[in-house]
Amino acid sequence: MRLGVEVGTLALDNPTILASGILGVTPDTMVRVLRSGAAAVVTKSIGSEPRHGHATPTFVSLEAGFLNAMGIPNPGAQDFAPVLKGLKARKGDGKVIVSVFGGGAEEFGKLAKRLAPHADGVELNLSCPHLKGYGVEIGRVPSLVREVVAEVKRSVRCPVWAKLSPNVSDMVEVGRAAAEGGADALVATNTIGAIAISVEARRPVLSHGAGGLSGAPLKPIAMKAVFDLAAELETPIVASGGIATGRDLLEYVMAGASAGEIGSAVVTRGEGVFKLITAELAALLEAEGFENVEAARGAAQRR
Amino acid sequence: MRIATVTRTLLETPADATVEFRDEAPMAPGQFYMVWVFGAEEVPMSSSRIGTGGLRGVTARKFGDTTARIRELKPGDRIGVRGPFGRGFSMAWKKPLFVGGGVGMSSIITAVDAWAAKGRKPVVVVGGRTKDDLLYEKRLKRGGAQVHLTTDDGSRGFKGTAVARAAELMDGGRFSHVVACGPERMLVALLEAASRRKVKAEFAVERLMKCAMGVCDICALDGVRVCREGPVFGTAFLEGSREFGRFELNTCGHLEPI
Repeated sequence: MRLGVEVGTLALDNPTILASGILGVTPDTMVRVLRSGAAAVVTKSIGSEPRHGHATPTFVSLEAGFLNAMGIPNPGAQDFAPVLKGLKARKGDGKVIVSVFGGGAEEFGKLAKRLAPHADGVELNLSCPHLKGYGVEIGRVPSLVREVVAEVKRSVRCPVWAKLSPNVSDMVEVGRAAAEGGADALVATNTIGAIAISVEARRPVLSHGAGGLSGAPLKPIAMKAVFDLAAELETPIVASGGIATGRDLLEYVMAGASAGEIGSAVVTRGEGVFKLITAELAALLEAEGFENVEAARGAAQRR
Repeated sequence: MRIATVTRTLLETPADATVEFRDEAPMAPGQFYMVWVFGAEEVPMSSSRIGTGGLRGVTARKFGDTTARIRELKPGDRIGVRGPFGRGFSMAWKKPLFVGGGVGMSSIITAVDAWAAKGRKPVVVVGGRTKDDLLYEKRLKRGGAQVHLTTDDGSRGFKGTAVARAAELMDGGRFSHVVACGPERMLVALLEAASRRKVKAEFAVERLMKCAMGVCDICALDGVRVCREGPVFGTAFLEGSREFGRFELNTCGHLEPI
């Protein structure tokens, strides 16, 4: 079965993508993930300056899912540009999408312009739940989202994806703003804001206090986001939130997604997760009588 | 995050303290915990004690605020623990030579214990800059090990580096493997000395740790996650590595010379 998909103009060998914030720092690791079956990798979010990130603890397993507040540690655009450039020759058929985060349209535009020439696409982090002045603080304001996306679209030629947060009152309104700004795809969703408390420590477990919840508990929330966005907008959607199996991914495809980003399941199922999910998806598509991924897209919308 | 209660503390040297606690999660020599001190940070620590009934220990030398706070813990104090993480030592050796440099000794002491528990007599080189850096001398001797102490300044034992003493011991083909942890410069020299004598290496390597679960990429060594595929690596990987002994990622994810 042919499992290739198109997210707007970006063609992918299969619908599995490494989500931003997971293993996307060093070129060797990203090459390894591509070789292990991901059609694309999204890099760690890159900003204008190097960032150390928040103090540890930054990551903890919960009863279900993971909670993190890494605080976007990243080497900064100047140091990351050569890393991206070096990846070009090594990535084979895999695609590399660079994630960027800025404090406003101008900074997003500059970062994208600097890094996009070495990448196959740009993902805008409009959704990190735990960094003051960035991420969802911009991503919850539709007018800012429109402005950021439009500025980045003016600055680069490659596809521009807007990664959205579930921590907003109306995701469709934000998604529409991104679409109006010219986004080539909407990524739904980033982690959802959450807190874990330690009784013995009498404080939150993460040093930052609040973090972002990922994995299985995020899936039904992100599913609704994908479903609602697909019902209202024509812009392609990349699902993200608790995809651990081919069935999870097919649910998102039926809700309207074209592909899926995978993060937490890299921990729970290992690096082989991309091949596993792709194989499971192929088997399930066949069993359900779909010729390819596209044929199943939006199936749950047609009631 | 599991919570453990400190049961005992031991001052090992003027600089190093061992904190014991109980934790039921199975652990193998060479694996590590993430230890959280409330109000401070969470740091990677290999267990320096794997005893019965879930007895565990970590030996801390003051590097920063968190390790300083670990040294000050008292019985009854509570800490957070995650793990054990990583792959430990293979324990599949014919005749190992154990080498620990400074507080690196805390990463191999449990392998020495496990070797002795198999009824074998461990041979251990314990190295330090001065006599105040030497860990576990009494514990090793009590456990039946043959102990070779070395200090750079000659204040105790053989005057010279642990690598120089290990190289002498490896001459003559007595050892099949060298099992070690310590400063990376020491490990680089030890790898060279071992390979020249056709002795295979198994080293516990240190890198920054944040998530310890293979997510954050900050411990990557040539694209391999030290927290998952490590921290113990063998000769083939170490000799083929472009980064071992040369580069490490800083907290921003920038590759810096060591």
